[in-house]
Amino acid sequence: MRSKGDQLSYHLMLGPGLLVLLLFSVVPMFGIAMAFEHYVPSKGIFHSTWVGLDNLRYLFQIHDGKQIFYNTVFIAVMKIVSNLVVSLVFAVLLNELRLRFYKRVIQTVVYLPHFLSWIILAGILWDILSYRGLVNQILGVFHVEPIMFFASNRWFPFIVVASEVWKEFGFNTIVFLAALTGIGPALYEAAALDGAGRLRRLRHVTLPGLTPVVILLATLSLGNVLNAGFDQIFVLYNPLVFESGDIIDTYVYRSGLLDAQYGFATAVGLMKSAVGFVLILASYFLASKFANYRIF
Amino acid sequence: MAGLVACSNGGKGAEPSAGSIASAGASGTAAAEAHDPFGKYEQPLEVSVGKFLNLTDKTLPAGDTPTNNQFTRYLEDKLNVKIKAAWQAGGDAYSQKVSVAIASGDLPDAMVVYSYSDLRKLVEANLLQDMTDTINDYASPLIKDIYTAGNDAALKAATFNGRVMAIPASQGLADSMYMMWIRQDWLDQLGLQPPRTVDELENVIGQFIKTNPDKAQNPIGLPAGNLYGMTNSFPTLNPLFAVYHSYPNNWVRDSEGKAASGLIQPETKEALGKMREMYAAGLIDKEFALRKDPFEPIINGSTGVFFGPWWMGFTPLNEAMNKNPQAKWKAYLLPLDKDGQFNTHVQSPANMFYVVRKGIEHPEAIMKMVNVQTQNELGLDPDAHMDLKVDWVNEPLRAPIAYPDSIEKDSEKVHEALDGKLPVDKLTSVQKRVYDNYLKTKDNPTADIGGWSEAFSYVEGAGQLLRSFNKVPSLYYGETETMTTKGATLGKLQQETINKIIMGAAPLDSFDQFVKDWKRLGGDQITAEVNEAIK
Repeated sequence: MRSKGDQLSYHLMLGPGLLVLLLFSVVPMFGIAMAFEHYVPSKGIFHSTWVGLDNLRYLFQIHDGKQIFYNTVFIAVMKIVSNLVVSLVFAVLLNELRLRFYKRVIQTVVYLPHFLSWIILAGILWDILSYRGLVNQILGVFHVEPIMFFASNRWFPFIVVASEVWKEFGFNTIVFLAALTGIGPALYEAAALDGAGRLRRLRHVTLPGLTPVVILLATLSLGNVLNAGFDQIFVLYNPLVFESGDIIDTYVYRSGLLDAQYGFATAVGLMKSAVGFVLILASYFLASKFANYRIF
Repeated sequence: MAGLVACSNGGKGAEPSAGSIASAGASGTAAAEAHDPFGKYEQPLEVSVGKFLNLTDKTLPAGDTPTNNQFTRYLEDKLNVKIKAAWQAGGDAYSQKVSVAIASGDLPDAMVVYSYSDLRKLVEANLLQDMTDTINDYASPLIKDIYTAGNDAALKAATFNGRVMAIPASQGLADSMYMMWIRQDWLDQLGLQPPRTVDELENVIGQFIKTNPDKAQNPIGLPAGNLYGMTNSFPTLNPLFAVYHSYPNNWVRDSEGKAASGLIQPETKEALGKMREMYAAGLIDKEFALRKDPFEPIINGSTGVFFGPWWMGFTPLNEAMNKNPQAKWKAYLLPLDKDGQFNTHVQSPANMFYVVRKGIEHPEAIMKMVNVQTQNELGLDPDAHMDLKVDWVNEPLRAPIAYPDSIEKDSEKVHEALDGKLPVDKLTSVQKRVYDNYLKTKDNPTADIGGWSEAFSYVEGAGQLLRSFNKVPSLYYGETETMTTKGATLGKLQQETINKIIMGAAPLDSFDQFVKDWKRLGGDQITAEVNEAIK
């Protein structure tokens, strides 16, 4: 079986994939040099002024530096946790529905926002939450002063998280529903015979059956802790909530593309990659330990 | 050719003063012949340009295109210069194209850059033709005169290490002077006088909101899309800052006589203190920092007062009139400071530049094009026969070179003609059009809202600028090294702090901390560079 000819053909098949990886993931890494330069495009990487660690030093010197990392982690962690909890609860509840028709309809309806773009959802949110929007009009009935949700650093991160959950929990629900079908009906029957009611079956059969999936999803999403959702925040934020809503990606976009601070923006991006790398290692370690998930 | 060499040797090598330009123009007839600013080429000369488009322009007659129209044909006829578009783009796409051109080093023969920072990047990248001698030798007397009228500020803006690296445009300064626009019919209805002080202004806004004469759904206070824009962005609160002698965009003299940013001066804190009060009382739009379309409250009658430059008739008041033809908008140079004076900052005349590719064979061709176009724009070529309805943006390269006070001049002449002090046939073509449109539309704006826009802006808006008031220029208009690298961070810091102070989310005294942070994070360095630059 292990003749050399066999292996060669496999290796050849690997070739195109590796080439793409090399071209798009390895070669651009040399661009990291920009993080240590006062980069001017027309001069190129080799002729721009070398400034050493100046860009990184400036990042740590300004208040923005700490803030964007804090905001990113805060928003992303909240999103990961709420997405897991909401969709898990929802999947379990949906699973208990007896009418399959209702189950299907509800599943589809909550899944729908997943397909809408953030531009559209932002418009809807704006109408609901603006100064004279729906929510404030209702609050007005109870003589509550209108709240500027999009100008308030207290509210903004939660609006971001809640709207993300609204958009995405339907998708995760489907993952959990799939896992639910994987739990053998024999277990339920056995539990029922032993006299377990619905709640006990839920506690002792359903939840333990879902644990590996939950752990897997949670640990894998650790690698995303530094991705708090550029397109969502980009359409929702404004200068008033930079303090609580500006994340690494939006910051890199503004400083790199709008203000042409290529070197500085690269430095910020590099910091993100460095931290992200550590987190991915950690999540892989955790996943292999608790969920038996291995790449190699 | 000999003349060119002689000139470049004879020049002082430093930046050209008005004197050196004048002497170059007057030196010897032989040289003048060799350097005819309007000389026609014998062989057709092709010039590639980066073409700026107005994407909503509908003024071109059928069959004409942005690269083949009355302006390009006129140029071909005058100079035998054929235009080829290396690329065409409008709006944001244009500045992206310019950025790509800068990044790749692949420039058309000529294009216009609409910001000083683009010019700086091009010069730093060593992509531009040195235009010092070309301007000296080939700029028409008209253009030299316009530069001189602006104290050579335009040429200085384009000068790097003593060499002029672009043909600077030179705009009227009027666009940067913000004035108060108010609903005169509301004032009359409520028996109020135009507010002369900030206190009176507060009272008027309060009355407007309370009585809500247009029955708007949500009456608001002063709109402020941009708190203190330098030029053309509006509605702003510039005149309110200026009441307290605060000029956040300007470089001003501090108590030690050095240049300092107007933003961090105690006057700014005083102004912010007042705005904070007004915001709390609802006299400044509660949602000023969130509004996506700041014109909307003006158009739909939610507010009866705002601050903007002279040309408000073009936008948004044309739409406001369409919506409510009964409205009577008036402009005033108000409110006044405690000495009874109206103050305003003024912009640099040079924000746009014609840039020429390094190594081009005929750099003077671009200068000649600018000569011909400028003469035509100012209505000084009797043989031009231009259809004035066609948008000037369709010129091959478009950046206006006009006298610093051209708007005021035109307005003054129109006013004199309207008062019967000047015969109508003495008006230039532009002034004549404004004059005719004013008579046609003053009682019935919606009959020809396009004509009204221009006439109202010139007569009502620019008419205010004919009064005497205090114009405060900045000590420095350029962009230093550290502004490029740290300006964005500082800008964000100032935007956050100032919004918070006005909205009451941070105490007024947080301004002091802001000043410290601003200085520490690059402001001190910028200030040192500016002082170095203006020495």
